[in-house]
Amino acid sequence: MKMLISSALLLSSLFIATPTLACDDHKLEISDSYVREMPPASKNTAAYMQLKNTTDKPLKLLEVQSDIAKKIELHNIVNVDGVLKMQPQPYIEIAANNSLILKPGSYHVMMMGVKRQLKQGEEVKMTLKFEGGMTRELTAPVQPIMPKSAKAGS
Amino acid sequence: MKYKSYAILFSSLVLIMLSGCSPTEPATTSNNSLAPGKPAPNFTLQSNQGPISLADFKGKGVVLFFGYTNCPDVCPTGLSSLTQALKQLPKTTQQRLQPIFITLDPTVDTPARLAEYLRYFHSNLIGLSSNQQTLEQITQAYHVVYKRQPQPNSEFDFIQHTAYFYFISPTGKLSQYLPHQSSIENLKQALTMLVKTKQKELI
Ligand SMILES: [Cu+2]
Repeated sequence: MKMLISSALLLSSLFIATPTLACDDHKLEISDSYVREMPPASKNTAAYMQLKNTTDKPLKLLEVQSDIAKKIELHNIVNVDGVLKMQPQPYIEIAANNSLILKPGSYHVMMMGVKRQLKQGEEVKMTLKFEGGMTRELTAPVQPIMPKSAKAGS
Repeated sequence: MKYKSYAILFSSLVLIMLSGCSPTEPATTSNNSLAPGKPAPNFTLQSNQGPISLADFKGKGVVLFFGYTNCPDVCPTGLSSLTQALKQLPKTTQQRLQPIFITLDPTVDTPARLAEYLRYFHSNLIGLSSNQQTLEQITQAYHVVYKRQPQPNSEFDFIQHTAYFYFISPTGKLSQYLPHQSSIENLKQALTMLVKTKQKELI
């Protein structure tokens, strides 16, 4: 009996949660997300994805959380006189009605001190936190580093 | 005719590099000893199979890349493109090429660790390490600019660095260099050119 009540409670809380998720879906679309497969001996990796903001206001990604890594930061790679430098970003802004692609050599979700060597076929769960309190859960597949030019076959 | 188109292609590559839309070329100092057509500086460093010199590969085209195994984005991207370019070339061409990776982080990257890391990308890749002083001389000779980028938690230090592929002809001359984000197609062309150089010199 007790179990029935608690599962009923759980069910109703799911119903309450669903409309909020659906609402968020209209604000932001995440596609092509993946976490880079890790070569042996390496402790760091990055997550990449496309973020599409369908609202007429800019959207700021503030933080990504996952228990796969000791530390997660938002980074960009900048070229200073030919030297490639990774710069931590306080946030990543997606302009109104626009898309931003997180990709190698550019903006990325930096995962440091990853707890095990991630291999293709695995999945990484993470939570994206945006300005205004919106959060999104994401399950990204682990994929080998495949430059865009290779995918296009050019 | 072949030579002419090669010359045009090469000068246009240099122009693209100088135009500023891509990273500045590695030769950033007044020292011009590193230039296409000039002998590539020799080195002797440690692999997990013992010492290896650039001069050991006379007769083969060498492609050289500097980086470190904890590099989270730049090195894996470059190495991945390079190995895909190599794998797409005919076997006979591949046999005339030697890819080499030299570390910028010798305290972490032992020859054994480099071998383990590089096996993931390509079985022919050789990883080289040494002491800080020796590596300093070689990076200077190749105009590699790099600097440790300390993080609040030193466990997560990164190294900022220039990232170019150096293509060295079978006679030991620097043929050209390309940025690490080069397309697989451009890398394949550069690698094929290295092997062609040898055929031309043999005739
Ligand atoms: Cu990063």
